[in-house]
This record gives sequence, structure tokens and C-alpha cells, in this order.
Amino acid sequence: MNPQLFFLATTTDIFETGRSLFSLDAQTFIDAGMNMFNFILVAAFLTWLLYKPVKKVLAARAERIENDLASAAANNLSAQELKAEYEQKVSEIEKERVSILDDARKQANEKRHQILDEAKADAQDIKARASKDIAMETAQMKSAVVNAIVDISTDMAARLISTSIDKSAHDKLFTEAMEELEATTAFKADAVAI
Amino acid sequence: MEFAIRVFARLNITDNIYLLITDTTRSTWIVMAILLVFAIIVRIKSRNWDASKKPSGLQNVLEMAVDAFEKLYKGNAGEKMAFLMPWFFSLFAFLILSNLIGIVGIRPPTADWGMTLPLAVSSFVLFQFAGLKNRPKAYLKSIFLEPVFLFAPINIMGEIAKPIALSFRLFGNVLGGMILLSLLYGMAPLALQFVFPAFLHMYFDLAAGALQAFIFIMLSITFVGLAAEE
Repeated sequence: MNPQLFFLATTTDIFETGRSLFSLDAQTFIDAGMNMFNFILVAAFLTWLLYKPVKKVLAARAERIENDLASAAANNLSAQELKAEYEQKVSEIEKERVSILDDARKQANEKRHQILDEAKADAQDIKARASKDIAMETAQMKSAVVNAIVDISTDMAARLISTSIDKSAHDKLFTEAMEELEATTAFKADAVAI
Repeated sequence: MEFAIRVFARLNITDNIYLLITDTTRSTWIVMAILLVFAIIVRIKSRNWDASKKPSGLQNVLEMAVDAFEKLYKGNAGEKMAFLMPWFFSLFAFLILSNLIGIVGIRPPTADWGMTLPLAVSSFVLFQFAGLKNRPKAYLKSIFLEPVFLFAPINIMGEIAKPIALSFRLFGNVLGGMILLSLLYGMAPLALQFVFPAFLHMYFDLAAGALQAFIFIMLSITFVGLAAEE
């Protein structure tokens, strides 16, 4: 096939005129084919020598960042778990603290009641002992009064015997004896009241 | 003033068909050499790169560039066609350098339709592949039966128009900038050929060059994404 018939224009004296800026001739398409081949060559080398190394580094960095993010997420999860565990422990400790305080209050109340009961018992003992002492003192007082009466009676009898007793002397002696007895009895009664 | 593509050598294949070593070929080889040397340096340096350490210098810049491109690509083409990312990354690097090389006085390879056409065709092949791979029935239906089968020729023309539009957009913009700057150098007085062209270079080579490379890539990626999506 003759390209001169097929295409719109052809180049003849190409060294002198140069190739035209635009023509739809065979030469244009041959040049286009050669340029395509040149560009395919450039694209292959650029991909191999430039694009792939850069992409490799970018991919490695992206992978490293993803790993770091995954690691950070795992650490975050671990921290969350530790925090939950810590909060649970704090909650348990709080419960234990409340429980200990309640027990302490309960024990303190029990102890208070026990001390009060013991104090009351001691007071009852002291009161009982005091009552017993009072009764003994009263009995002793009564015995002392009796002894005094006996002594006064004895003394009166001695005086009656030792002297001649007339009616007036008898009355006088009796009155004196009674006054002494009253005085002794009043003294003892005051002592018991105290 | 001569804007034709100069021919340095000719290798005959048949009587009428031959390989030409042109301005475009030479510029393409220069761009290829720069990219390859840079890629080899990166490859050598990458042996010492450690992912666990903070990146710096060249590593930092390249990581940022690749990462930004990956986000751009996945944002427009989705995850399904992620395996095409190295191709489009290489295409972007090639186009950027091809468009910017005019700054140093070398004719940009993309100022030749013979260069932009195969790149656009490669994108066309890839987005057809994306559609046929991910949803063959729905994709074919969208071309031949939607909205009704009578529209099939229009849809087919629409598909064919995509690489043609892609290639002509890039070719026209780069060539236009190159012609304007050549006219300036050829026609402006000598006094205006200093300092002043720097601003025009900043726009036509730097800004427009980078922008056109970005548009080419964005459109290609978007076509891939549209073809691949359910």
C-alpha cells in the first residue's frame, strides 16, 4: 500500500523543509509509534526505579503506623481493663470500709451496753453492800442502846441500893436515868441517820 | 521564521516509510534521559530510606508527590483501577518535564502532534479497558444502546473524539506558547529580548505547561473513573 494514496499529505524533501507542524501522513503515525515506544520505555523505568521504591517506603510507613495504632488500641483496651479492675477494687474497698465501720459501731454499742450493764451491776453490789453495812450499823446501834440502858439500869440499881431511897429521891433518880437514856438514844439515832 | 519540525537523520524502513530523527525525537530523548537519571538517583538513594525514620530532602518531596498523586488518582478514578497509577504518574512526570523543557530553549516534545496523539491514544485504550474490565455489558450498552441504538454512531464518535480532543488540546496549547515566544524573539527589538520574555516564559512554559499537563492527566483519570464506575 502506498502511503501517499492513503494519507492526506506526505513529506518529500524532508531534510530541507522539515516535517510539517501537523499532517495526517504515514510519517506522523510512524513518529507517533516511535514516541509511544519511547514513552512506554520511560514509564517502565520510572515505575521500576522511582515509583515502586517510593510506594514501598510509603507502604512500610503506613504499615508501621497501622501497627502503632493497633498497639495503641490494644494498650488502650488494656488500660481500660485495668481501670475497670481498679474501680472494682476501689468499690470493694469502699464496701469493706463501710462494713468495718458498721462492725466497729456494732461492737462499740455492744461494749457500751456491756460496760453499762457491768456498771449497773457494780452499783447494785455497792448499794447492796451499803444496805448491809447500814443494817449492821443499826444492829450495832441497837445493841449499844440496850447496853446503855443496861448500864443505866445497873447504875440506878446501884444507887438505889447504896442510898436510902424515899419517894422524892426515887422520882429524882428515875427522872435522871430517863434523861440520860434519852440523851444516849438521841445521839445514836443521829449517828444512824448520818 | 521556521516552525516546522527539523529533521536530523533518516532511517529508511521501506522506500516510502522511514524513521526520522527530529527535533521532537531529540527533545524526547533529552526528557527521557533526565527522567532516567533522576529515577536511577532515586533508586540508589532509596536503598538507605528507612520507613521508621522521619523523611527529609528528596525522599520527603517524592513521598509527598506520590502521596498527593495517589489521592488525586483515587479521588477521580477510584480504587478499582489503582493498578494504572504508575502509568499515569509516569505520564504526568513526562508531560510536566516535556512542557517545561521549553524554558531552556529546547523544543517541547509535546509541541508535536506525533507525541501528544500516542499519549492520548494510550489514555483512550486504558479507559476503554477500564470500562470493559469492570462492567463490560453496561459499558457496551452505554455506547451502543443508550439512550437508544440509533445514537450508537454518535456515542462512538464521542468516544473517538476524547483522545483527539486530548491530543489537540495539549499540542495546540504548547505549540501556541512556543510560536508566541518564537515570534517575540524574532520580531521584538533587541532591548525587549531581555528580562521581558522571562515573564512570558513563566506563563507559557511554566504555568500553561504545568496546567496543560495537569488537565491532560485529570481528564484521562476522570475518563478512566467514569468508564470503570458502576
